[in-house]
Amino acid sequence: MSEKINLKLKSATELLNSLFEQDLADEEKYDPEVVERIKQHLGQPSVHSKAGARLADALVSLAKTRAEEVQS
Amino acid sequence: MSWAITQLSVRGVKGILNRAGDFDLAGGKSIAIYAPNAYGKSGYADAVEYLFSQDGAVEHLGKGGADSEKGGKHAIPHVLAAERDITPEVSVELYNPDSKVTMSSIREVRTGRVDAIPSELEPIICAAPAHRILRQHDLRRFVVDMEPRKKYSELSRWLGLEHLEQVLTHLTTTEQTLQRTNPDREIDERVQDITKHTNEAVTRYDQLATLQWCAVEAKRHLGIGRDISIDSLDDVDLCLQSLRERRNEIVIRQGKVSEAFEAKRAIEEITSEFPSENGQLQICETALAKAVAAEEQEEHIRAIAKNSIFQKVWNSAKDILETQTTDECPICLTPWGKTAVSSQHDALQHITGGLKSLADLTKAQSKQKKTNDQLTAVTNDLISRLRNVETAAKKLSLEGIADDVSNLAEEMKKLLETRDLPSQLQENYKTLLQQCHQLFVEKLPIVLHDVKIEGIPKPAKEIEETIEQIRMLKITLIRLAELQRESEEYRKVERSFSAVANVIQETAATLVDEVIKALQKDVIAIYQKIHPKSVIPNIYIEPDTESKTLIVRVDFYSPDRRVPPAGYLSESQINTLGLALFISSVRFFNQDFPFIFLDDIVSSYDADHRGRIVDVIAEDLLDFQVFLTTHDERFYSMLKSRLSGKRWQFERITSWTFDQGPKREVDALKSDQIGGLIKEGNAQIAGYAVRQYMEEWLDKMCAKYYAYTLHKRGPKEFDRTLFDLWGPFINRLKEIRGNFFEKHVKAQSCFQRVSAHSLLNYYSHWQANPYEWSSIGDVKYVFSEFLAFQNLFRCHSCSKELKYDHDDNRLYCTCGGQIFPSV
Repeated sequence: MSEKINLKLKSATELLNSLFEQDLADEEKYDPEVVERIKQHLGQPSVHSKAGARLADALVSLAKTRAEEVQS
Repeated sequence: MSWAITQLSVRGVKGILNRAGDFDLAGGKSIAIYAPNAYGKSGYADAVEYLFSQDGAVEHLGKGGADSEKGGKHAIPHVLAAERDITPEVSVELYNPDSKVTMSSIREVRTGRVDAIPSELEPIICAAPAHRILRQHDLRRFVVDMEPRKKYSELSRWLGLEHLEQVLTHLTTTEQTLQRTNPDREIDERVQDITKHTNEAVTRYDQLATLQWCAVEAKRHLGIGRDISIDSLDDVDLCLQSLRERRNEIVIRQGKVSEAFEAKRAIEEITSEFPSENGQLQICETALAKAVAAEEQEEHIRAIAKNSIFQKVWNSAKDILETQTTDECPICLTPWGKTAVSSQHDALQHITGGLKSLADLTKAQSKQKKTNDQLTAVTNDLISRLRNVETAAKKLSLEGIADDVSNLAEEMKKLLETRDLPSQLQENYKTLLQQCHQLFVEKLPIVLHDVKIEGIPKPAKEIEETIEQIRMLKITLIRLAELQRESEEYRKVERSFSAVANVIQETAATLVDEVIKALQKDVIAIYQKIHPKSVIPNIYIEPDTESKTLIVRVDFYSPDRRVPPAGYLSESQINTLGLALFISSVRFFNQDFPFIFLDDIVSSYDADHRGRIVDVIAEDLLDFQVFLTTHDERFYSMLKSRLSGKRWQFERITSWTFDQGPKREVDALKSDQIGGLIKEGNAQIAGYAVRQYMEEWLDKMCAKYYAYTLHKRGPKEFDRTLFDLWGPFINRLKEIRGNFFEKHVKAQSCFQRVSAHSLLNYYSHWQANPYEWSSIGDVKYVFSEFLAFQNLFRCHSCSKELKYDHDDNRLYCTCGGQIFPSV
């Protein structure tokens, strides 16, 4: 009962960083451009209050750019 | 790395005014304070909660104004603080034994909204996020009173997951926004446009069917003899051209061609021609690109042929070198060996190369001139056409269009007049072409469609309607093709996003589950310790990261009966669950700053359970610094007997008055308890106890012998030292009748040794460690000499402590025997 608990949690930023650097770095499994945008908007220690909407804009813009590239 | 409080000071907060607010917790020791109800002990909990709160709030007081039901922040300062000119504040000194860093902070009580935690404290509090103040009324809070969402948010704070929670919320926002901005909605709207412009003949996105409809409509106007085939969007322009021609024929045949009709027709022609693939705008853009390329080419060749100024010399030299063999350069008469080229052959090659690059330069310059002229010509042509549109627009009273076109023509003209190189003017030139494109593609067709020409025969009007329908259908089909591609890419990006979002969400959920599992185990163990005899319910803490809720459930006498604890457990069981959750949370999450405040937490427990809570405090909070207050004397005694001498200090609040606050007294250790500590061998702990013992005894004796000291008796103050008591006490002894000091004290070796020790001469409590005990041997020595010194004040016959007759200024004993040994 009196055993000393040594549970050190990773901070959220550390957790996200390790996800971005390991699991999500698999380019065959996850679209690297999408991962990059999520990292850019949500992977920082301080996240903007409208980061979710901004990320959506960035992803829509990515889809449009790709559509234009397909056309050309 | 873990921090401990070494000093705490409270001034002008709640019931604490300007006394009994200082706590010397050197070495990170814990403290237990006993006080009856209404003696101001909870004021210490409020002060500590305020000190460490992120936004300067004390939860049970709320954040309302001075008139709010709970009192709000205005209830934190002592009501007499302002009147007595006391600044309400809480200060703390923290020490980190690992890094040997001392940090201090003062937080002045502010009643305004902006009241952020002092920056020096913030990282410490962030590293230890679990709630550290537990009061009796809080025990039920987490178990019963908090909504599942609030519980989850509290848990999230403990886990330091607030940032991750923010990220998860943003991911949901992104997901919802992506659903809202899906291009499918616009696709539906455009399909409705097709339905409308084909008079409901085509009701879906079907390019072939739409173009066939256009062909049938065109054929209806153009007549059976005309073969109309529209296989692609490119064919639509030809079809429109044919329809316009047919309309013009009808109008001309009627013999009533108005000026307005001619004007409209002129604009239409230019409008349809301008933005097309071989139209004027494309011609201008191509001419610009060629001119820029020619300019760059000329620059490049010019750099190669930079020595062209020697052309005449080179020509002369070449003639000589090609016809004669010489030993030296025919120009400068330098022997070939000393020239840069070294030989006649190389000189000839060099000259030939130079002359060739000069010839290339001439060609490039000629080409550059030609492309520049072409650019000027096509631009002038564009300006001329724009002027035509301007004139026609005026005839149709389209003043806005006329102005726009005129401005564009003017800007183009000015650009040409600058005579800048193509590379210099290309940015502005392209912008103007883009503005032309927008005007002719987006604005003019709509404006023209609204221009109604009088006297147009009905068949021609019908053709105009068809032209507009086909034109709109073409625009719609182009946009739909774009949207279709966008939609496909959109879905791919959306799928990719969901895959990444799922990984983040699942990782967060796994993390929470793992921690909860460990927490759950600890909670059950603590619960079991407090209620060993009752049936221990399985306790379930179930977080849901998706709905951001957390529920607490227990099995009630059956694994199949999982119920909310509030409805089924007894009051003390609920409180125990709350206490176990609290203790587990600080054990798990506050290891970097293991400090907790337990404010009167045992009210609902009987004596047996209180004893077990003492066990929990002694065993499970072994590595914690505890600040405990209680009004339960038995609980206090249990704690004292269990924890005396183990880095715990015990105090009592003996009184409290409104205008002075509480009065504290130390429950000092007895001499035999100190002897035990000395045997344990920790110089710091034993030394502290010895100092406290001496201080308390001297304080008491000063009072007994009417020795005047500068300091108030009773409350412990940081700036009081042993010397402050020792000096007045010894001076007072010197005044006692019968030459007591000279005869019975001064000559004693124990007096000489004690008074010579640095402990009594170290005049400062402000230093980090005012009592440097070099070794346990030093502690033992001082303590034994002090005990011997104490014995000087005991009756030689009966060993009782001597009494002092203040009126007679003499010592005596009630036994009537000889009170001093023979001198």
